[in-house]
Amino acid sequence: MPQYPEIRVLYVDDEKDNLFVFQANFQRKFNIITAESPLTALKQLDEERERPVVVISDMRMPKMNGVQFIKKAKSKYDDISFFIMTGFGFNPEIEEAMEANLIDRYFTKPFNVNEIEEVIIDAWKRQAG
Amino acid sequence: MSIAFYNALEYAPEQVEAFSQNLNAVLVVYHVTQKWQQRANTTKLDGRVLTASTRPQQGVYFIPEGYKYQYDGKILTILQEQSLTAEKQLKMLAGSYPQGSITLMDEDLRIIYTAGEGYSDQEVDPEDLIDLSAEKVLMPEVFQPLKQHILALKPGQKQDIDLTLRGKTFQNTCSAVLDVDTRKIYYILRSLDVTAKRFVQLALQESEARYRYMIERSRELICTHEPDGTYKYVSPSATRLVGYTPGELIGRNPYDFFHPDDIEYIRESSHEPSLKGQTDGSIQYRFRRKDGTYIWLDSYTSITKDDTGEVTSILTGSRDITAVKEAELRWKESEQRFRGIADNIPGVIYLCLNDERFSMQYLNQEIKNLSGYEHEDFLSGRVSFIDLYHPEDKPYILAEVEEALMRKEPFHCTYRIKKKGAEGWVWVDEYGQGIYEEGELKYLEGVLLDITERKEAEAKILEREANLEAIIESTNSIIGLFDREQRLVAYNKRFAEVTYQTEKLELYKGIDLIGKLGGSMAGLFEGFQERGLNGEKFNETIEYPTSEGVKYYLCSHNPVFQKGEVTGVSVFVEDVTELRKSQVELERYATKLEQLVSERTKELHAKNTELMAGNRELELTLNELKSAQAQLIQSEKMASLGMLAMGIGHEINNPLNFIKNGCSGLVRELEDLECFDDQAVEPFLEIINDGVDRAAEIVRSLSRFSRQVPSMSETCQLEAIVDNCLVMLHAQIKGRITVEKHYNDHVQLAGNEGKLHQAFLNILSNAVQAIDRNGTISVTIRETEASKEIIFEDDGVGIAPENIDRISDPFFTTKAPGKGIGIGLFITFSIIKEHSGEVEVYSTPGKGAKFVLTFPNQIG
Repeated sequence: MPQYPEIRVLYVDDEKDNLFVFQANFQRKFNIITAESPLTALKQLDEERERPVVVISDMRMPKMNGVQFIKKAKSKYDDISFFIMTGFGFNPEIEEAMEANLIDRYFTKPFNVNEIEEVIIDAWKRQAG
Repeated sequence: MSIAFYNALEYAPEQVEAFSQNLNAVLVVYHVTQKWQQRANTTKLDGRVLTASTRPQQGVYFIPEGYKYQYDGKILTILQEQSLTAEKQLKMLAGSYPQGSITLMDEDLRIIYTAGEGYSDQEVDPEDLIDLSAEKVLMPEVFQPLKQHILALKPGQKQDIDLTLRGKTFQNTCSAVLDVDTRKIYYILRSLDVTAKRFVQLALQESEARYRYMIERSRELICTHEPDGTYKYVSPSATRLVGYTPGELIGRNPYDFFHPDDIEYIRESSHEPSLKGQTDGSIQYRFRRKDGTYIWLDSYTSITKDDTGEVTSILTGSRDITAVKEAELRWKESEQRFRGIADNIPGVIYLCLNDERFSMQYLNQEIKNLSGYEHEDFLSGRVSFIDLYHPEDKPYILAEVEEALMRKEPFHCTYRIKKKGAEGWVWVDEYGQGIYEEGELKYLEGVLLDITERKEAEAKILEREANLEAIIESTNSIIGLFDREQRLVAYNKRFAEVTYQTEKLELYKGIDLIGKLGGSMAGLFEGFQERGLNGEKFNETIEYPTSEGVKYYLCSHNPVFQKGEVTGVSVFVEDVTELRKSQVELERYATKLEQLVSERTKELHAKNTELMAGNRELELTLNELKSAQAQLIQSEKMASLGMLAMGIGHEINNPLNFIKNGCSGLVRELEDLECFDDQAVEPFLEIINDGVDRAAEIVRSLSRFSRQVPSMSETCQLEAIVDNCLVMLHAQIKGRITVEKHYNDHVQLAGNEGKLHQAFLNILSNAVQAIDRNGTISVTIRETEASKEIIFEDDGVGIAPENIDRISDPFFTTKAPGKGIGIGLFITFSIIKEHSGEVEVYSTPGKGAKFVLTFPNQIG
């Protein structure tokens, strides 16, 4: 049982290893679900009875990148907090997404466990409050 | 002297006065109660004051005629042995009001005396009321109004008041009498049940009011007359109808107002018969109003007779029919006008029977011009249209008329008739319709117009059209006419042929040809149509792809005007493919010729230039070329590096993520184990994280370095940029070169971050390479009011004095072949210049080099 079973987090990344690493680091804290592609993630959001509090998506993925995916998901699930996880040092598309309030901020790889934990808990508190 | 006594109570004081004058009588009125003292009223007789007296304690003396009395001037003595008691007198008094009651009251409305049957009707003993206040006796709703009335009376006045009690109406006559001696006022109240009487009166009044109302309000003039006609009564509507008020007419004779032409007529047809009792029917005549104009009246009469059968009164009711009369007159006038018009219009108007010969009932004079016959010829039946119709047209006319009449609709036919004494036929246009009375066809009416001239003109037009069509058909050009909606309304055979050959389309009138074409050609033609519809007349040559190759058509568009409006566009298309081909050929020859001339000229020019240009110019060109080439190489290099950095960033960061967070995940797994030794694991984790962070930092620096943004307005942190460069060069610096940093905190410069990275890296890279083994590189960043400065200093080999001026030239290098192509510092200088900065280079060979970069602060 994770420490915060009520905080469900969906992590989207096309690399299985990333999904595994993410799960390994956060499953003790949160209720983690993962998706290997944006399309799977969208399907999962539609089908999931319990909606995630936070969705974190990789940026570079085949077919649809992270920002495109979030744009689509956010139009349907405005109450979820979305974040990008990127291997790039810099990307104008992410900056635009922040300016458009699609995402509050982005994380870089390799990620910092403590930083992400704080942000997730913050987002959860903000949604609840 | 005769003296009569009257019951004063029955009369008002003024009447009493009158009696006393006329009858020469003395009236003596005594008011009596037991309490009263003997009292005598006096009245005048023949100028003398008489005083009558009574005996004490007696009531009113009521001395009817016949009683004997003595009057000595002061004392009245009744000589009857038995004088009447007051009681008896009142009873007599009451007897004259069999239905009512009499009440006598003093000033305070105290009842002094009562009598009459009225009280017994109420089952009250009048005696019981004596000495009681009227207020106590009477119902309040009766007493209050009575009191009000009575107290308002002045002596000698009498007033009637109706009071209602228990559904009955009582007429109360109140009078006030003054006792001249005591100056006291007494009130006499007579009360009579007048319920039935009032009811009848009211009904009568109402019916009279109704009757009056009707007469007064009637729009008709209602009058009564003497048998000779003199007005006796005239209703108020007279003022409105004839302008005279009833007062002005009453007493006058209506004959004074009749129109002179109508007087005899009225007398004979209305007045005299009505005196004989014949009053049926009305009469219409003119009546002169007060303003002198005449009004048409329609009057009926009735009479009243007395018992002997003599006519006593004539009653007349009259209404204004001027409007009707005028309409009648107007109708007569318009009938006359119609005849006038009918005979003057340029067409035949007829009215005929729907029989076999269309027997004419009416024809205007124009028939003579149309048919050559007089209109009497038709009216008398000597001539009929049946005889004049063209044999070919006759069945059509009869059928047309018959069919229209069956449907009760107007008919229209155009046919020929034979005109008397003329050659050829006259064309007639006929518009007619049946006239029905109560659904029965009675007549035919209509108009016949001579349209021979129009028909001839039409024939000419047809002929002209046929000629035109022949011309259009005979040409080899495409001719078409489109209407405003792009529909093809007319076209020649050639058009149909070409369309079928090229588009496999069968033409027909009204086809949306452009719509059927589709594709780019449709757009082109639509544009042409629009220009044509806007009134533009133009020629355009178009290329038209067909299965037989591209055809060239010269399209002439002409707007078709009708009454100043564009109603369509005519299109005239010529196949100019052959013409075009020869044109193109010609053009090609011309172009070739031009080219040849131009080439020759160029060659000559080039030779000239070659000869004329000196070595310096050649060098300059070469330098420019070099500079361009260098920049080209650099931007190409940077672009590739950018792509590479991006790819590397993602590809390296992901595995770094596996390593770093794989470890941290692993540690979390291990934490669950009992034998987990926190302290033993910690150093491992640290070095892993340190390694990963360093690798990530390199990737990050690389990505900043190779950033490809055209902007010159980024906020660039100079220290961060220098640090990034040092990270890049870390491998070459590590272990042999000491880097000294002299930073002023957070010096910022507006510019392009990526380019500054390149510029600084080139300088630092040269410095690293200038240091053979061990050495020091110092970087100073500082800001003054005027400028920002970065100083790179090394203790390497330095630059030879003869080379210092050339280090910024492109492709100048002192490095061995393959170690560099000599564009690094050229690019650096370019970038610094782009940032409005300056580079100063100081060097002592063998001691090192110093690059001072100065960026002046923007003023303002």
